Amino acid sequence: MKLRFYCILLLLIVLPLSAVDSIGEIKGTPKPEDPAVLTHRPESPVAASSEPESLSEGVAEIKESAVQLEEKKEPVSEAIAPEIPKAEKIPAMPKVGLESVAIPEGTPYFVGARYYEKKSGGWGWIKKTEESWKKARWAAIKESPKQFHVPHRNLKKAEEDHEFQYKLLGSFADYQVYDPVRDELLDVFIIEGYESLGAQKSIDRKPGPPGRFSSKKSGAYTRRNNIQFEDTGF
Amino acid sequence: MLRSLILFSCFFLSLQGREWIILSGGPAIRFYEAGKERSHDKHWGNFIDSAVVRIKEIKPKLLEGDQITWLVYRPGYQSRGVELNADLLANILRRANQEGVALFWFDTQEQLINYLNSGKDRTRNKIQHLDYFGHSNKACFLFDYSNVMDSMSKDYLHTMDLKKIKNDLFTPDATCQSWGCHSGEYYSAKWKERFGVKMTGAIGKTDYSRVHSLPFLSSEKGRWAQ
Repeated sequence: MKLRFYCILLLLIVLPLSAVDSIGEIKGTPKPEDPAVLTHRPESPVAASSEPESLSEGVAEIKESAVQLEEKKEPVSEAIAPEIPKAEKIPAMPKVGLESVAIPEGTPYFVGARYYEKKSGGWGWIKKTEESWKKARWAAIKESPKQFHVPHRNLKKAEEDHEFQYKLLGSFADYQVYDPVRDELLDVFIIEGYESLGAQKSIDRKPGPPGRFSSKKSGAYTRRNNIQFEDTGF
Repeated sequence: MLRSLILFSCFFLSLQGREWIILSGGPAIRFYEAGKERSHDKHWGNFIDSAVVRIKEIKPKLLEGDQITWLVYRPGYQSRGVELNADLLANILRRANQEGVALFWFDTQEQLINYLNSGKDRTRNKIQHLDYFGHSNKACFLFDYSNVMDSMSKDYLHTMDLKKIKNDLFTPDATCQSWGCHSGEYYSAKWKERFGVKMTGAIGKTDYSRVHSLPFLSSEKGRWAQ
């Protein structure tokens, strides 16, 4: 009789304990997800209907294009994970239009003199064929990742074509870009092809836009305040 | 008399609703950054994830009538999305919806400035707070960096551009913070000079790599400054 009583008592103690795992959580209750795991959650499909409208200039247009929420959404859990994984695969770039090609006779082109500077996004001097190098513009080159690259992308090091000259197809953009390392504005040449002319005699001009060496500032130039930009971490 | 006037002004302001602005710049594209010794933006969403963390922090501080506005530089996410073959804009939109905040895209510096100056009736809706998440050097917010062109920025807000923004947009006790690199070394001072409100910024670099967290100082002698 006593033995039966102890058996029943033992069962009553053991059964509830077996429903609890090692860290005291009730089995079957979902554990909070690990944020590190969440960040690698595969991307979920995106609804095409959520694509926002296009936007033109001016604040009225901004208001139109803006997506202002009116509906109250359901409360969200504290940890929201990015739905696109951090390990991003970049599609391989096709080797199209990336090599030096002979420019057909009669095609208008510019002439570029490459000048490599370690801490600068400037590419070199670019001028019209008939102009002298004194009229050349110091410029950065805008590439099209899948179509047109700067010549030195085909070289092991960017400085390997220093003082090479090129026939360049393309045009100057109607905007300038900001070089955050040198804190200066640069003209932009949009490249659409090139033909290498090989190493040439150096051009007797100091590299850089007019604002770098003259009193005429580029508009973004702050070095007069003795600001130094050696540390390029941004 | 003056005291009553100040009290009335404060009361009036508190009635109108203040705006809390979160400003997100765009990421680089990997085509330009892959293979570099110090490669930026391996993850496309650095300036989005951290902005969402900040939005969650701000929500409990809102008073009645206050609104959070999220301004995002759209071209950066469009081009990175093309590279990734993913609709990043839809992803950002969904995040804004989840948080219940107003999302405004901007494509140019001019559009951003237009919004700040006159996107709301600034006599009634002053800006209480502004956070910036994005690339920067000590003199400039770079909304794109290595996105349109390698190592360059096409759309940016230089200290020399601050004069284009009206200087009466902020509440007297407004707070601002740049989470980008180096802002505390120069930008913060120019911001205070222009708007009369302090901007906390980093001396040194900041790092966005911690998941579900705000950026942290990553330079050896880094600190926050105003």
